[in-house]
Amino acid sequence: MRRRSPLDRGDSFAALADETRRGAIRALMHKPMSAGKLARYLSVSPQALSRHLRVLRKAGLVAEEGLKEDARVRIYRARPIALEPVQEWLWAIEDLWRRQLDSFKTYAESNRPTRRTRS
Amino acid sequence: MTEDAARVSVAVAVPPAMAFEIFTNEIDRWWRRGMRFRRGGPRGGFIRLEPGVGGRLFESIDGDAGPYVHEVGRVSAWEPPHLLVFTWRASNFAPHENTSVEVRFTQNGRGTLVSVTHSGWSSLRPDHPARHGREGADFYRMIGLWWGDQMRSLREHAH
Repeated sequence: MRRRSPLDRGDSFAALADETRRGAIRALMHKPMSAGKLARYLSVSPQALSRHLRVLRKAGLVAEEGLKEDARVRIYRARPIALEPVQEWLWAIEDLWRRQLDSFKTYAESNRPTRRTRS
Repeated sequence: MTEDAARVSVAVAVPPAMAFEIFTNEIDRWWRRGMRFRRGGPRGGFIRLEPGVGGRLFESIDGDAGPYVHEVGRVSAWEPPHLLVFTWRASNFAPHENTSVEVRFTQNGRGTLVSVTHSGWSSLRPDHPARHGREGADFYRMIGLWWGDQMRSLREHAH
């Protein structure tokens, strides 16, 4: 059976491949803010941030909304729900290493006398 | 500590020196078999880690056209019984793309805590071909871990 890859599920992985974009998500998870504020926080130009936000928005990782008091002020917030497939994937990967180390443990703790005298 | 790493550890009931010896010299005995772990597939190649800095980690495979060797990486730190570091590259990595596996053996009561840190995944380009490639061993080993590392930092912040 073909194992389904979370990488088939959209652009969220590519969106997260960039350090600035990861920084943006982290910051927005902490606190929603405007693009201008976020650009200053990340020390990137507004133009560069705008490109990054476009990628993140398309991937569903951030959402844009108007401020309650003034709908013209656009605020960005993170959408942790979009990270779920990604977390699933991480668990799958951790599982690979865990299985290796479990196998190592099983082997290391068995047949010790044999091992000591192996040729 | 970087955000660029996947980390897993296990406690084993043998002292560090023996754990190091088994991890390195007897790697073929415990390295899992099957497509997700070995290129040789179901038949499985033979995995070997040559001791000392510069030693190779490779899989020796009986191919249809005869035996061949797939080198995974080279030892960059060899400090028994505490530390082993080797590079880890997939055949489809670009020259600048490289990851590193650090294995620490820490005294843990009468046994050893073996900790694997696989780092450097951010050196891979996001449009790495394997992302669109087959679901075989390379896919899981290289790209999976790469993404895993990317995601770890996010997971930490997501909760």
